[in-house]
Amino acid sequence: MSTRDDGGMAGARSSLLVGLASHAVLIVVSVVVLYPVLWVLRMALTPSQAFASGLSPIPTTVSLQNFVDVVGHHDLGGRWIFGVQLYNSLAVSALSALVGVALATTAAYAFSRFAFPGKRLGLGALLLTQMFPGTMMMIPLYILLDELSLLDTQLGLALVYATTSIPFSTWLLKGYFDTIPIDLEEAARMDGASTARIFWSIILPLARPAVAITFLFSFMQAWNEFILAAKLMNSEASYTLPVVLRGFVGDKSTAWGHFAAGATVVSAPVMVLFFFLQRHLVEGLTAGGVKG
Amino acid sequence: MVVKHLDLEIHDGELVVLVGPSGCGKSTTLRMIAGLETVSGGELLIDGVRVNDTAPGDRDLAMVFQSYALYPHMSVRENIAFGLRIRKLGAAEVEARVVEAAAALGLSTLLERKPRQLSGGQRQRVAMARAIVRRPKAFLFDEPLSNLDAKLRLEVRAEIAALRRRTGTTTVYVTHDQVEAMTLADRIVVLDGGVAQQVGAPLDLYRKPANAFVATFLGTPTMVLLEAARAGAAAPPGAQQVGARPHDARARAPAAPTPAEAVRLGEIDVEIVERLGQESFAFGRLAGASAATARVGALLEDDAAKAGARLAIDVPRDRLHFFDAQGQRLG
Repeated sequence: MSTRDDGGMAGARSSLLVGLASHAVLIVVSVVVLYPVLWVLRMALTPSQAFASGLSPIPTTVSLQNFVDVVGHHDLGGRWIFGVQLYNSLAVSALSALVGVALATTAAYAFSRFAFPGKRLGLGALLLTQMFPGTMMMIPLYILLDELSLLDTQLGLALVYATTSIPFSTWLLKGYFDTIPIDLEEAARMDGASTARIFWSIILPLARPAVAITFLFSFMQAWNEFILAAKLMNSEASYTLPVVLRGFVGDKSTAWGHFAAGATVVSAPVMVLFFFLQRHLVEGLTAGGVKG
Repeated sequence: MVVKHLDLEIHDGELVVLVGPSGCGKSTTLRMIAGLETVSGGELLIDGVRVNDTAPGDRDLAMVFQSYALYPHMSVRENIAFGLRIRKLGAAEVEARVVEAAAALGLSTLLERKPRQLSGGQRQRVAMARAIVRRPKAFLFDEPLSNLDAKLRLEVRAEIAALRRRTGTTTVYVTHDQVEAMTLADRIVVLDGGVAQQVGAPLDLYRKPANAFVATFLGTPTMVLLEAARAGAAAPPGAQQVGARPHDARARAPAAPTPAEAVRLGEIDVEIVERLGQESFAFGRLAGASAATARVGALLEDDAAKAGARLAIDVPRDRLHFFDAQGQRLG
């Protein structure tokens, strides 16, 4: 009897130790991850343009002046240029994600379900495009957009982002579509549904987590992209936010306070988007559909 | 899974069961009828009309899948109504039919649930409701009971039989379970290697199997085939094998005389005795047979017999089945 009690005590003690140890590890990792973020926040909140030195991530004086400067930036004509640039970023990212997801879902569905000549080759070709760095495509893309008169336009940049995100998105979605039981589609076909109807009413709702991830991925890629945006957009009024951020880094001096405030502002929308989409990311919708 | 040759006419209101071991082509046949598999040669007619190139949705057939294939993101109500909505029926008509089908299968209180909130038997019933609500020309069942436990299987089997009686709808039913086939079918098609081995009423197939495959596939315990010489003078010319169902064979003391109408196949050393309550079977290898030959089974005449006893196997002459060198039935 007593032995068993001792065993229970020892068990409780060891599980307490495991709990303490795992919390210690988690705290250390959290500090490592959060420290740079807090440091950027400190620079953003400190009313100075100097690079922050010192270990403490807590600002000694707090001011929102950097945010006011960055967000309230107007051009020489008195136009609220930051608003225009924020709109550029949102519009380009949303449009490229929408176009990219629309084309990738349909392509992925075809690759997942249809048998056609060149299927393996097509999938391979999509993979191959991922092996070239984006900068390699710069000059061809520039010439192409120039020919189409889409240089320095949001539509042009959105199309470039959409096309570059499609290969990865297609692979991602195809992988998910492959896991949706074919029985469901056959049942729908017996019910008289057309392929378009099956895609719209059965496959897309079931693939919601994957579509959400793909949308988020495409949006973030477009939102964060700098090199192509810097080359394809020529006027201040058509810049996206990463290009604006780059503007705070000068040849001779860098406005670190503005840069940090800008970086904070730029990362906020993505966090909001992630917050709203995360529910869809974890939902296992197919559970219970077929046997199980 | 290739279906090589199948010539079959299914009559209005009939329940035909396709049965055979896995890989025999029974599911492929069903999927060809459904339109989910293309027919590479020959013709498929529904009501006299060639439908080889007709889309599944235009054949007016309803299928119940082995996996049930319920749409996971839709409620039971939406699952049942999906096919009607696609056929553009009016909302009131859809609602009335869904309520009727749900009531017929005892699903009335579950209409707002999602498939994942249902038990296996309930999912199976939703799949059936989805089929009957369309009032199709025929039902196609693809191993509908194989995901249910033994008790539920009996219940749902009875439910399918009742449903079919009520609607009188032509039904094609695929299973690998010969008991399901025997109990449900008006006619059974036994398939093996993509070829129909025999088509007929369950008891006809049981009593007069056309070949050695059908003979051993149907019936539990399984018929055992022996060399025809065991039957002595009873064997017709050309007979290669003789078979007897354990239910027809009697295991009795070797000293007991063989009845006039029966043939003694030999003697076994009893290895296993199975007491099923109503009846008991003795199994053992015939004396003189090699260890590779299967055990012969027979109804135990004396229930007290134990493993190790030596018993003689007698079978009435008219219950013996003879097969030629190709395995075809003789007589």
